[in-house]
Amino acid sequence: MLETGIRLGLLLGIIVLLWLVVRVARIFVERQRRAVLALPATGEAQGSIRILAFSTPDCRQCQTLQSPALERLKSAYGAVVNVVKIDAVEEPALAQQYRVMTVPSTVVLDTHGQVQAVNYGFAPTQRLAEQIDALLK
Amino acid sequence: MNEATVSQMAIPRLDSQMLKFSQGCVVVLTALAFLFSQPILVLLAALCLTVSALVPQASPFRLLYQRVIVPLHLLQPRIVEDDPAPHRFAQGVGAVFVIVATICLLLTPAHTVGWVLDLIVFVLATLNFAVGFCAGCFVYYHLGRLGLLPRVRYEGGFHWRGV
Repeated sequence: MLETGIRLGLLLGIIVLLWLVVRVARIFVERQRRAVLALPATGEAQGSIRILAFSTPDCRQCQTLQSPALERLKSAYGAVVNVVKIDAVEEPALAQQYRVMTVPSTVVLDTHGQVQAVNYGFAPTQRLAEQIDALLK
Repeated sequence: MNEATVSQMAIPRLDSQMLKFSQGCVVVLTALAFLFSQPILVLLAALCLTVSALVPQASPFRLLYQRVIVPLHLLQPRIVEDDPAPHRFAQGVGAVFVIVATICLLLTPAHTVGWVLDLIVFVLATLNFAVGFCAGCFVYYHLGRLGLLPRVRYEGGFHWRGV
């Protein structure tokens, strides 16, 4: 009985620790996202919605998932969406400006160059489509 | 947006709910095994994960999900774009951990090592279940970067060629 109690306490301790780590990590990521969303617009009026797609040459997920998802998006939206592929290693200033913490990362800019959405990690076609549709409304 | 255009293109997909269900099962099995000091549950987790990694179609988690959970409407399939290979690799890594844990618990006096390995799998499965951080996938991508794993090849219209 005592042993089970100790084991239960240990298990609960691990769960609480995990929860704390996850909570801190989520707060950190959310702050980064908010900072990017608060960036001033670039000011250049563009005819299309831009998606800045950050990747690196050795990013496997960028090549196998994100690139095809962006291609599908381009096929579906045509000239409405302009995908700008950015090598995060080659463009450290841009990566820093948009607080890219991982690749792939995608930043959705409206026609005024204002950041409207930030996706850290792989963003499926559907999620990107919803973010674009919200801008087209 | 033309949804049909998007959906018709060939893309690797998986059922994220089934993945969550599998992770949940691993969490429960490893937690109960540790809580009640039952190495047999670690063995059960080892068997399930090994089958899932080697023969995904015969995975006990998948069969339970498809034949019981979904028909009872306890969960609904949620198909998302994702590469199934890293998840399979992660299950394989989990299987190795729990197999070694089982050996330690059942065949050697190194019970502490066995329970530590069991708890490592519990922690990683919980992280994956709760926040979607897949440590095995993380390792998979880094091994791919180092060229230690065969690369997935895509040609033309993104045809899945397997690993």
